[in-house]
Amino acid sequence: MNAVDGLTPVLFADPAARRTGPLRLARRNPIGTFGLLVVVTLALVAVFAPRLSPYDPNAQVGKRLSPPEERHVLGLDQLGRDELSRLIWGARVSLGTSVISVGLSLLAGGGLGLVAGYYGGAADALIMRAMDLMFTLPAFVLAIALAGILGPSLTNVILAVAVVTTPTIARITRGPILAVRETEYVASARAAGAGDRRIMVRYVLPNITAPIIVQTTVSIADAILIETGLSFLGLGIQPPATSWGNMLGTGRNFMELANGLSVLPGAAIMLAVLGFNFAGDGLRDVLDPRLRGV
Amino acid sequence: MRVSHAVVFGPPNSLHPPNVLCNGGERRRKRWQRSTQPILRTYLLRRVLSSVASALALSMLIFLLIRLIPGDAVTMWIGQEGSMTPDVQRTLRKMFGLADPIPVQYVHWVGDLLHGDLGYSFRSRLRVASLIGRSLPVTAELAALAMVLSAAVAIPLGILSAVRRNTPTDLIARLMGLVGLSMPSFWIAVLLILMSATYFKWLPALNFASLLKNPWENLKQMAMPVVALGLPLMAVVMRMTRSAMLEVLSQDYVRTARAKGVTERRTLSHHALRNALIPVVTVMGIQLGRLLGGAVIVEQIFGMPGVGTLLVSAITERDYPMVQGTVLLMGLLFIAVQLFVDLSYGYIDPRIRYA
Amino acid sequence: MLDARFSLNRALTQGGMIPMGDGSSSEAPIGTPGRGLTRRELLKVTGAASVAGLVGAWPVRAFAAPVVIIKRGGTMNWGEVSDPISFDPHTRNNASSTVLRRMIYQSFTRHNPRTLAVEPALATKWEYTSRTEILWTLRERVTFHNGRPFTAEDAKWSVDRLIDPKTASPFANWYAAIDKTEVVSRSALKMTLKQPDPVLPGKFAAMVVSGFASAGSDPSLMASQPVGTGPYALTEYAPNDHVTLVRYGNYWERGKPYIDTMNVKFIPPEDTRIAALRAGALDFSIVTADGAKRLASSPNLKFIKGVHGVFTVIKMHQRFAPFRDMRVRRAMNLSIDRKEIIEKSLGGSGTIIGPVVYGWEDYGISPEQLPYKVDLDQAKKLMAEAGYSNGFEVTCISLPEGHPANFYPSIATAAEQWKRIGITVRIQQLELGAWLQRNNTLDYDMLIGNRGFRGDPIDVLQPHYHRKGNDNSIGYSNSQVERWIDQASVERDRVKRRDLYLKIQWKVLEDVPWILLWAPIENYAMQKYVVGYDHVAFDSYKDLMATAWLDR
Repeated sequence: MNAVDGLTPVLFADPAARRTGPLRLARRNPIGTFGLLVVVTLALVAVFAPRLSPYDPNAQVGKRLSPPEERHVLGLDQLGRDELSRLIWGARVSLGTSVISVGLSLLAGGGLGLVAGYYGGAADALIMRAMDLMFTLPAFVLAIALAGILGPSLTNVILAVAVVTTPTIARITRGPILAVRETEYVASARAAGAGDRRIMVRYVLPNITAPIIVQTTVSIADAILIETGLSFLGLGIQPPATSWGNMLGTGRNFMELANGLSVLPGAAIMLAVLGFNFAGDGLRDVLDPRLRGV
Repeated sequence: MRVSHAVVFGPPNSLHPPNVLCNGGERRRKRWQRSTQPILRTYLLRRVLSSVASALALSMLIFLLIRLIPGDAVTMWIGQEGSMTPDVQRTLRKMFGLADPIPVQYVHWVGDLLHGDLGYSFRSRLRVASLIGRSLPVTAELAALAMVLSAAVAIPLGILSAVRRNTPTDLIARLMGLVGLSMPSFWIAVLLILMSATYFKWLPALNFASLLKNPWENLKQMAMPVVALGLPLMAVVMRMTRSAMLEVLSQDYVRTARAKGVTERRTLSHHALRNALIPVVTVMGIQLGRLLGGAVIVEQIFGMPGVGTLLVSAITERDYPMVQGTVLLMGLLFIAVQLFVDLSYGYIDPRIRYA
Repeated sequence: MLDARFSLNRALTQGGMIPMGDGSSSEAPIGTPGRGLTRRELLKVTGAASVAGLVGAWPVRAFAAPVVIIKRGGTMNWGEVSDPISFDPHTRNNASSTVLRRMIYQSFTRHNPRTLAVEPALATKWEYTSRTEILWTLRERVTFHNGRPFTAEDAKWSVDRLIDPKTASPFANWYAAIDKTEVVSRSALKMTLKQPDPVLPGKFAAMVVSGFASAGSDPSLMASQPVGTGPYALTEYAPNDHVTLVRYGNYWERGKPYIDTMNVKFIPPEDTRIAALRAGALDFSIVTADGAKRLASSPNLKFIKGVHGVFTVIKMHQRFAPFRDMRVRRAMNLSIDRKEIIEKSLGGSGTIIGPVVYGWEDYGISPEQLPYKVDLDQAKKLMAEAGYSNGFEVTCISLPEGHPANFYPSIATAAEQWKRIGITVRIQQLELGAWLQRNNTLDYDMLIGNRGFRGDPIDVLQPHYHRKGNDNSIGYSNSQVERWIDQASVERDRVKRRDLYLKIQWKVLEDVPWILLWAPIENYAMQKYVVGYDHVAFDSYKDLMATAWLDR
């Protein structure tokens, strides 16, 4: 499995994959399908949070730490807020921030990787040194430092997570491009008068699409972990937005009095991360024929 | 919390078809040592130099960043009630060297650093080096144990999963891997505490026991944090082992070995595993960053006197020398492990040259 | 062993110890093993025991006069929330270090842990020889933990260091009145003042930055190797992990303290402290009200509650126009339900407060007398009169939800309540440093924060409510209040001073410059065999640790 093997434009390499119906695909790849279902469900919950949640997530609707009952199926938290509503709105915040920040890092990292890989030389050296520099610190430590500097708020957490996930995307983009650039078919296309733009679209993009799609789902999973981790430490998102990390961080103080407050937000985080990881796993199987059936 | 799978697409240019007839063992090791000594030295030198450069750049970055946070150590010291006069504030800023322009502060810091002096904590006025020296063993042990635990469980599981591909065993192992990967260590920690609070009344001794002085007590204290930190890592290593094994098992030389009548056990241990280990080691190296990051939270949750606890309180208190010291240390530690990982490739696969 | 009628002889042969009541009055050791007791001493002892309030914690029958047999020795595992950071007696003001420094260092005076009256410590008496001169008579036969005798030189050195600008002590301004100190004799110190300050002795009692160290101590060692005259000496400090304090054998209050070793363990997470208390690994720790509920079913634990002197307030900056109108401030005060706020923030474990927290000698206004009520009609009327019948929007700065100061739950609950009179409060949560920065630069319209217990109520009232107070730059000014404050700050008669303090407080309650919310009632959980730590008042009075003992 050396790098050159992966250079065939993978998306189009396996026509069989495109011919198979969704049901067959699902049967062949139950894990990925399950992940996709979880992701789609959570996305719907996030989008329709205002309609789905029975109460305003910040309204104090009853006695603090009330156990679950008919009107509040998951009970009330330490300020008498409806736990279910908070979890639903939490989906919006945690998914939203992660997706947006990974989107930003796709733009930044993808762009940087593209430039570095395609033009090489000084640009490459400079960009990749900068990326390496960010790799010298554990991502979460860097995120703590950034979030600390920027101050806890929704936008700042998005920024911090985006910065932290950028180097991976840049690396992943650059690698294949570097290799594609040297291949004969790119050389001949160039000889035939194809411009940078055409070469990018026709030869380079198809080769990096698959790894980037997979990395994106995985990065979103990581982003959720970083965001909730920051919020858990109190360095992340702040109300009125509700982060699962925040809920877990404060809820754990009420262990034994209301165990749901420490179990449920964590379970929600796990479900979301799991969904993206499963989906990423499935996508890899589908998109990367080298690993097909592996 | 990064690059859990990136490696799948960017494998080290590693899986060369190895010599099937190679005897492995002692002879291989000696040959490696002989043949690579001079190249290794240049390579090492270059790597060390570039690592030091990275660390310096990093320190500059952190030096700047931490000074951009609103409020400084004196702000924290003043408290809320405005009882500290402006004169006192000025004296304190001067005493801490905060009155100088940032470049001057930086030169002072680097100058002291070159003399091996990390300075004094603003907060406690104790030496940064001695504070870090006390807490580093805790974090190092936590990370090392988490790694050992995850490798010990995950590598055999990954091999099993690969060998029994597409059987229920494989599916269960893969599912467990994915679930483990998705559990945030801070939640695992909270669940562990919840369970031990509700069901077991067991609790390790209070004062932190040193591994050297009281190993049993120390290991008991480490048990819950290590599980919380190691579980997600375990999942990553298991997945990597499985896919690397599958990759290797499909290679010609393994088929040749099998065809030649080498026993399955020997094929696995001598031919397949050794090659499959390279990406696994890479992943574990990369995961160290994740571990150190996770350790920051886990230490907080269990109230352990480690580097992460130092770092978080130092950021909160704007204790610049402390932040700089801990971050520099974490960066260097991470770089050192990457270096070690790179070198271990050569040990695992002698054909890798440090060109 | 809990039997109060336990044989005296047996106790003595086993090394049992008789307490000396409140201690400071008597210097001669009584009941030393092997010495035997006179009848008079025994009577004194039993009397002292009831005065000290030990009876409440003691299962005695009314007819049997309790003979309290104190057992010496043992190790107490004591759980603290945070690391002390530094033991330098003059440069740090953080609560976590103050608590431990109080066990190690002492000053001229100290607060009686029950009434908070100022009483002698290392000074046996003091006298204002003029309005600007104090003569301190120092206690003799006091030694530092390293064996050196304590003399006027040491007191002078410590006070001089405390007020030296180079020391940059955070509370040096409390002692701004001190001009110079002069050693008169080995046991007498003269203090000259720049201006009259009748409450200076009380400021030394607060012990935040006033501990006495031996003259010429090395400042670089004081942070981690403190040497004081207190009941306990520090033998080991592992930052972020634990501190070991050992009973000082030559402590001047003969016989005290009773426990040999204090193993102070720093455990920030409450879960761990709770588990440790349950398992018996900790003997003593502060817990939250919710923590106390979790521990309530443990048969081996008991709880002691006490009001803490740090109180939470909402500050309203008058740069925000509506807050300039007293009617608005009154309407806001009338529309919050403090009981609900205390329930939501502290699980009910708090008390409503006036400008001075009740329980500090006789300075505060009792909760029953405080004029707080919820009257929405009146509040709406006041808002309409002020021209805000449609309410307004304001941003309040708070620490994040989950911060142990509990600001967020308080302001979030208050914000819900203010909706009822049309006021919308947006809450901006800032990280500690950023929040402090905004607080110190007065860059806010509304802010929730807390204020501490001081050497004397004047140190609360002057900074908060005087136009020139350094904690009142948000526009409040009432010339009547200011006149009373000025009068009180030079009044030498304690009772007259107290009357002025009360007048000031009633006026302030009318003007509502700040919204005074609550002071927490702290919960201390301890094993049932921890005896003698029976009452907690205000500022984490761990001085009481010197009177605690283990009945095991």
